[in-house]
Amino acid sequence: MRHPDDAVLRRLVHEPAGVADTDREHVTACPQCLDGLAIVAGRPHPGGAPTVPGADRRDARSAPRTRGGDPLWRRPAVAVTAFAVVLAGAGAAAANDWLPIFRTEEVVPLEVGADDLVDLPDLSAYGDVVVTQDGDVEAVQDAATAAARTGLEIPEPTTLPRGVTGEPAVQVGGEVEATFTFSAERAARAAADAGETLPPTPAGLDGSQVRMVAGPGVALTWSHPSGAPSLVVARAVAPTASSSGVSFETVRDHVLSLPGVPEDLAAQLRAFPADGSTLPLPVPADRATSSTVDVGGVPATVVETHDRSMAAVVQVEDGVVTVVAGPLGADEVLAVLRDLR
Amino acid sequence: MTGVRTVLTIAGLTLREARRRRVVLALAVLTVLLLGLSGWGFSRLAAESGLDTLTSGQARLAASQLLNLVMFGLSLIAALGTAFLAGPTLAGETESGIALSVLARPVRRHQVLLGKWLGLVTFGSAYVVLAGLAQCLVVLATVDYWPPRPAAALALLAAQTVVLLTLAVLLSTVVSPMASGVVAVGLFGATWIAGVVGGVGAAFGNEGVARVGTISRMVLPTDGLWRGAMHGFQDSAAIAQVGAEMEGFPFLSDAPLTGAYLAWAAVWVAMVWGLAAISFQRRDL
Amino acid sequence: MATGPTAGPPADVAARETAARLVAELPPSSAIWASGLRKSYGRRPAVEEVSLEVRRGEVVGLLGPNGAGKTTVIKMLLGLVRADGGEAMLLGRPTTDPAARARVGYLPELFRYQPWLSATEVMALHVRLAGVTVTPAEQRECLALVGLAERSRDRVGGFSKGMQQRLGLAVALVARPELVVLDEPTSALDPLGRADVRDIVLDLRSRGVAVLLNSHLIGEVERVCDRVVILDRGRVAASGTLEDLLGRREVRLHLVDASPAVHARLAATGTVEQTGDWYAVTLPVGTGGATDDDAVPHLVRDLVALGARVHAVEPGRVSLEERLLDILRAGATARSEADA
Repeated sequence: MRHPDDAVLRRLVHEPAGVADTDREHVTACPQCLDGLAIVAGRPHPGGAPTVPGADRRDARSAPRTRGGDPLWRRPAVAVTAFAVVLAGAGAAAANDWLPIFRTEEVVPLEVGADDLVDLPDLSAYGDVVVTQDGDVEAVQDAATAAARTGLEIPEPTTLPRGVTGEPAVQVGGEVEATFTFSAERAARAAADAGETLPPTPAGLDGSQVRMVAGPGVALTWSHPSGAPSLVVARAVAPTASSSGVSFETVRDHVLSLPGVPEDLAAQLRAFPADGSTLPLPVPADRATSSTVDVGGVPATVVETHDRSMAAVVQVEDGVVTVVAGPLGADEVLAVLRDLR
Repeated sequence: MTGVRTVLTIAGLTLREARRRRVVLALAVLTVLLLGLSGWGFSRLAAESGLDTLTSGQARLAASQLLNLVMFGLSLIAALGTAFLAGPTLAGETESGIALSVLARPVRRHQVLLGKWLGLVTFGSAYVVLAGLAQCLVVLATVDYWPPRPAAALALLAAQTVVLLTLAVLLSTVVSPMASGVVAVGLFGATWIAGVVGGVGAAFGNEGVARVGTISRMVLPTDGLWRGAMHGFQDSAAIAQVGAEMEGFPFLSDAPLTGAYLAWAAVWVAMVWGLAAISFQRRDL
Repeated sequence: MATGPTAGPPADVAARETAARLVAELPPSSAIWASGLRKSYGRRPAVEEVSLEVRRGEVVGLLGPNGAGKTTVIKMLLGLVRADGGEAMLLGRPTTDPAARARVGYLPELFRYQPWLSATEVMALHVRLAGVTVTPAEQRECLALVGLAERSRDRVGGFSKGMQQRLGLAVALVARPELVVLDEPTSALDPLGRADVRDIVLDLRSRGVAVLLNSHLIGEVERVCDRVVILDRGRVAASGTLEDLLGRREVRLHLVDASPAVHARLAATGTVEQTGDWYAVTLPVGTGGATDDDAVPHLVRDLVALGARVHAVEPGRVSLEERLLDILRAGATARSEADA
């Protein structure tokens, strides 16, 4: 332990009551301190003999003090100033977005319309796209007209879920067809715009052509009187792609591997099936759960948001996609899908 | 070890005080009243409007907003309760002289302060979590809505209470018991309003106004934590569905909190507690 | 400091032994030792350079007028008020260490206990905080000692002031203290309660427990204290044993036909206060070669010889109260002279 200093030893001689027990015990057991004490005891008392207890002021002053000698950070003025500085710094950091308070996430509303189902990925950045048929999404009077226009069996549920009332608005879209010719040069330019270099193009890819077809499709939308959609039932011929020479998958996977592909395009491409067998809807995994159920012997994918305020079910059968979606529970959209069959 | 014993003794004493002073009873009565009222409201919502005009999802979205409204009421009760409990238990005791005989024991003041704080934190958090859970169950029973992240939301609600309580503890070491409660609750309200103003600013694309909310959330993290809690009670996808016109609405929150902000809230609590300890340490009784 | 305090000549074994003896023969550390305590509230000094000592087992009274700084001194000793300067030790430990208060019992002037607890619970709380083991039976005994045995299960909130003060006394005594600080312990008590407090203090003294007693009731202090410290305007005005302070005795004489010579003889003995035919003469200790015992007979003999007719001679003793007033008045006079 620490040796008591000279002032303590002096006090032990002249004002023993002012010496802590721990110091006394230390001195008793410490030859070094006893020697020091012997020297101090031999000297005359600097202030004369004390008359009143505690009159030994010189010793009292020179003795180590803890009171009033607080470390700097424990002084209120220092602490308050430090706090204010930190607060101001944090406020400035937040105001300048160095310290973000909220995690920004792009929230995409789960909406399905005829145009979504008969949409093709926009690949014009990676080659020439020649649209041979553009689909013409338009509203029609009723289901019969829609059936005539699309040649599809119109999905009309006989019973509607609770809260879904009125007549649906009917939208149809014709077949969309486009031919995409991959261009390595165009892809290199797109990559350069994103500040990246293009990975080598596989042999035979440059100039290869892919024909993509989607639709026709029909969508029935029931709306709440306030305007928000309450149920969407849609059916469309699933998109397909065919190619001469290099397969569509090769083209797709290569485009996906390119740097700087926009996220929504990538999602759309990944979901774009070559054979119309997979789900053409991107599911935001962080706020929805998806599961597979069997409806009429055919698997269907059910997507439901975590708080169950939105649900959708998608079934693909014989190259035809049927979607039921809305601010409903999963059981309700499934009931509608079962009703359709 | 004696330090730990002192802290735990004082924490236990604070909890006993809350019970004996009928704070628990008053809060329980208020809460049961609020739960009953909200239960009735939710069942009416389900019975009257839910039947034909709202789909189940829309009803749940409405429920989630009502849930947040009631949760805000709960957090207000918790804030008022703990702030007005923190005042008397510290400032009141030093004023009345109860602290004299306690602090003349071989205890350090910061241990006593930590004990008080710990007791209040336990009390406030337990109240918020229990009452919030009860509210969620009421909503589940009446409109069949269960929030997406209830645990995180309740934890953030408790954290909000802890932040406010720490502020009340600091204030009660500086000003009178009554004033400390009033100031703490006033600041809580001011930050909430600043948050709403900031939200409106963000909705209208006015960065200067939006910054008001941001800065106030840093200065006193109650509003930020509250918005984080709200986010846990409702799904952002559903809000996106409602559309952009609802942006800035004080009972909607479309984004979760960042880890950095949660860390800041913890740092904030530690700093304010440190200030309270320094202030209490130097106080002449 | 890692090395020895004094770099002196090589150790001298004899000197070392002398030093060791010096330490070993020291009296045990004091119950209270304070030196140069200072405290100001704003710019108003409350306590200036107060030094005092209470030895183990000693009962010391702290006296002084209102605002003399008695309570502030007590609170500085107990770490309740931060001293601006000076230092203090309780039971051999510096007051900056909370452990110094481990064996200290304290009854504050402003006595209030958690009103939502029962008396028993208040006792248990203080035992826990003190960190000593005291059995519930002992705690009950302590409550019984102050007359609260019947009310031990009742909430403190329902107690009268007097009962709260009794509880405070029990709290001060419960954790086996070696030093008890009582700040105005009888302010809310009836005469019976005051007698109880006196008995308790005397009992503490008999058990070797040191007591610092701050009281307005001088009679109380006079009866139980070994020593008295008088504070005035934040300073120690006087201190010492009761004998030191009350050494002056007084004799009251009823004289008729007092001649100037008689007056001169009286004045030669000490201060004279005349009220009609009554003369009060103070007798300083051990003056004029005559012993205390002889001073009065000699004075009476001389007065008779001078022709005074002595009707009555009554011994008197300066009360502590008068002495206190003397000291305080002297202080006030000195100050007004210094100001002029």
